[in-house]
Amino acid sequence: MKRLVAALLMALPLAAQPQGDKAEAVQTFQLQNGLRVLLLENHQHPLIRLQLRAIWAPLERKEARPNPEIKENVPKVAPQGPMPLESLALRVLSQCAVGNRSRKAFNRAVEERGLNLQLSGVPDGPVWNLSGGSPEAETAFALLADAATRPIPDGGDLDALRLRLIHDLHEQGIQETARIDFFRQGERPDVALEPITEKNLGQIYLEDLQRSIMMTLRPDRAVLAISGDLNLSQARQLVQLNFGTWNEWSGRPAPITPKPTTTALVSQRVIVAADRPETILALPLGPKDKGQRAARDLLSLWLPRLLGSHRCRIHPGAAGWRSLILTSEASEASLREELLAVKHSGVKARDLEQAKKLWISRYRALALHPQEHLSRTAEATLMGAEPTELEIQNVGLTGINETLRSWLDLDLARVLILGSEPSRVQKPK
Amino acid sequence: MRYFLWIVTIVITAALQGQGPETTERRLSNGMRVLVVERPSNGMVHVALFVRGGRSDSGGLPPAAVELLARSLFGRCMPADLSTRAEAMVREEEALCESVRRETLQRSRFGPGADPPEVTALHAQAMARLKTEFGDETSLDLMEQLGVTGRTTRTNADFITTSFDLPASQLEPWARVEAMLLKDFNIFRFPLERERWLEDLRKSDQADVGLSPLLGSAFVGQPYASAMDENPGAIACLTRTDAKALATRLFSPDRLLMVLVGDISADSILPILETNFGQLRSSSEPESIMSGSIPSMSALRLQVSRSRHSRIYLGWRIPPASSPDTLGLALTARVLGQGSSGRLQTLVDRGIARNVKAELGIPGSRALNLLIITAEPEEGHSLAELEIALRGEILRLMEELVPGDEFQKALNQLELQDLSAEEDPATLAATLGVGWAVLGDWRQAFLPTKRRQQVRPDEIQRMARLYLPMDRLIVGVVEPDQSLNEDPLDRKLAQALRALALRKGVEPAKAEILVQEGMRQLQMLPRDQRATTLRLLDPAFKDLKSKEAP
Repeated sequence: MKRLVAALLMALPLAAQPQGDKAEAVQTFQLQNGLRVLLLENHQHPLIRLQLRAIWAPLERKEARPNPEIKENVPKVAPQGPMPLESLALRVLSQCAVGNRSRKAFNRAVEERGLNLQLSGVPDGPVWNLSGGSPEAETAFALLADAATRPIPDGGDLDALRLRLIHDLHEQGIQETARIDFFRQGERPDVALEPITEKNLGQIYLEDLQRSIMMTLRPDRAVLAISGDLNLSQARQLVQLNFGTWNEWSGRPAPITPKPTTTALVSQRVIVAADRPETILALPLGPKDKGQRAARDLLSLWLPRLLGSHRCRIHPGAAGWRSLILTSEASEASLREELLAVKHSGVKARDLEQAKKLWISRYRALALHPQEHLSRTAEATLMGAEPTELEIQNVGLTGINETLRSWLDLDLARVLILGSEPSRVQKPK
Repeated sequence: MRYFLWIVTIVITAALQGQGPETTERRLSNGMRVLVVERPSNGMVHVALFVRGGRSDSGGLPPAAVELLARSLFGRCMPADLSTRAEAMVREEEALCESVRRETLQRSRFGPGADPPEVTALHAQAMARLKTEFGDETSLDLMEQLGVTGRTTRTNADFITTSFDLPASQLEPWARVEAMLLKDFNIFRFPLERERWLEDLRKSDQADVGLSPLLGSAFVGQPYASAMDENPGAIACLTRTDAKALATRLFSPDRLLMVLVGDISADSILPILETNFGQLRSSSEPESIMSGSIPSMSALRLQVSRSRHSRIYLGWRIPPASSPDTLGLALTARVLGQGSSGRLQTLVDRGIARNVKAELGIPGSRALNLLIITAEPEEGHSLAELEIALRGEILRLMEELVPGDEFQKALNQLELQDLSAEEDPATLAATLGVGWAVLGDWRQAFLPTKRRQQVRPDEIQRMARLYLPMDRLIVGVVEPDQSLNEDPLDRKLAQALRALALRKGVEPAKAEILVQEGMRQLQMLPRDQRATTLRLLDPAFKDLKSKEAP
């Protein structure tokens, strides 16, 4: 019955659709359950793209429990910080049964209709991307709703995936594991995260995982972005039909974008023996501040250039956090000196103008990349709006240099040292 | 490998598309082709330049020369890149680099000297001067000043391509700068790009390392044999003079296609392109001839030992993308191992394989190429077990008709690729360009709609029987061997081969190719036989040592 109604809804407006319309501005609406929806109409091609984004709800373990699934080496003390649930949860979500279908049957249903569904993870949470022909819009919405709102993880999935992760840990070696943990901590520098270790993975129970997924997949912490050959009325009806029954979880949601923290951030200085010496220095760049968003965006674009783009990058984090990452074969002391030099010299007027030019070029070019456009729009809605061209134009030298100075606070630096020569390991004064 | 997937997707899309967008084609006075797809929007244009003849057409140089040329030509562009001021500086570096190479060779043959040679220090100084001149990463380069963003440059066995987005209002100044780069081929950045690539290779994991020997065995004597080789020794031997000669040959206007998709009109852009790119000179050298017929060779099996990663490759030679069988082969690959519900995915579900996929168009699609299944065994399962399971799936494909719904699923997935290609300007430009570079005519990218409507499920069975028989199977087994990296035997063998080649007066870059090919063959032998080979080569090697040793 649901399908019949949707088919009828689809048929009439599609038949009356004008061809060759220009792309329109973003249209938004919200369901009663809190799900925010964006629509970018484009009737030039019979194609639709859907993107559903959610936010991880990390679970803090409060008490130690014996794990019946692990027979040996059961640790007595539970980890204190958030567990590495995200990597496991993402794999479970991509491989578990969905609704009343096995994963295999679900994947077959997606591909049989000529649809492409991918689940990927960004630091903030899981992202489902689905594309397909607009005549299959009804099925596309139904399948996406199934994937995101009706996953059924079971113990078998968890065991197999845990073993896989442990195998990956062994294969990638100590240095790579140290790197991964270091970058992961950089995604949420305000909370001490437990590293991804065999012991910690063994401490995750099915109920933890189910709870984490349930807390993550809730309509008031998600955004559905739609682009392509649908009008607002069609989109509203299809979203209501497929996501309207997505129940709001009764628990209290964690804030999506936390306020800038006033407490001390996690400090780290990790030394790992390695054949190839390398120093990685990470500086936390605080959660997005609405007032400074334009200066932050410009600085994110320009700072890697000031520091040599081949070894400096901005690593995206969760909850508005980002990290400035410097990787070098040089010592920690010389990296610190370099950062201090940039902090003292500041951003020059010429740099600022060039950064603005680059930002505007990239912003305008988004119109040529439908998938990227959709992603940026959805992310901006979920995590806070992006700056406008006007805001970018209005950024002055004072504003950007204030942001620069607040960013390059070397007392907050976390350091990973690969290599064991005394000169490298020695802490700089 | 991800890059190969991209290319294969584009090639398949190009070969199978049915209805193309309205496209205007023009030829400039020197023969260069231009395609324009008008799409009114916000004043932006996506531009893609294609050069037919990629790594498989390197004219006697190592295939990596094509990649290095593309990096040097389409990297950053500062005012110094357009003047001739740096010519002397770069020539000095080239001479010093050659001296360093010879010095290093001498030391490897006759033992290290007491002091590091002076020439090394001089070369380091020359590189430092080049870095000062060209290494500024902080400013916007000339292209970025014009609003160029998202520049991506790629090479594969069949073509070089560079693409980017640009405001339509800046097309004229951009064309002026780009044409200057393509006219003079100064490539002053060549030594810096060479150094950077070598550094990247040193740090990389080279996960697809087993594929190159497989191609070498499958296409002996053909351009595709070494198309994926990225041997650091060969790269280090490449000179700017080599690259300039290669550029003159490859960037001939009859080998160039420019595709523009976006907010422009063909009438307004063509005079601009004629003024700037119409002046490019043609090369008299012909393109390399690509073979398209499948040799009646028997099955091959080779084993490669590496320090990490167990992996198996099952490959079959298949015809070029221009063949009418491409649609059938693309559907076969999709039924087998593409997407999350492909048949080979059952091996992952059963816990035998960790990863498995099927691809075609390796390493290119202009000529005879490979359909390859790549699989990694799950812990507790052997490569032999995995191979049997994979062979079983192929045999099932030959013996049983593919059910209608499974066939339709594969067809629907190909149609989605078509739709996406038409919607996204970047993918559309790539589809048109690859259609021209690989199939010979961009229009062919949109021809076989009728063929797709006519194709039936038994086509997959026919393709499997015709192209995937077990007596033509090429198997590559990559097994971890922790001791191999430390084993001095292979190092000594390579050293002996290199010394022999140089004693015969072979150019250093070509000597590296010979050494690599020799090592590839030798690594297929058991260790004791490799030791015997070294003993046979050793007198010559020892002879060299005894002559010069103090």
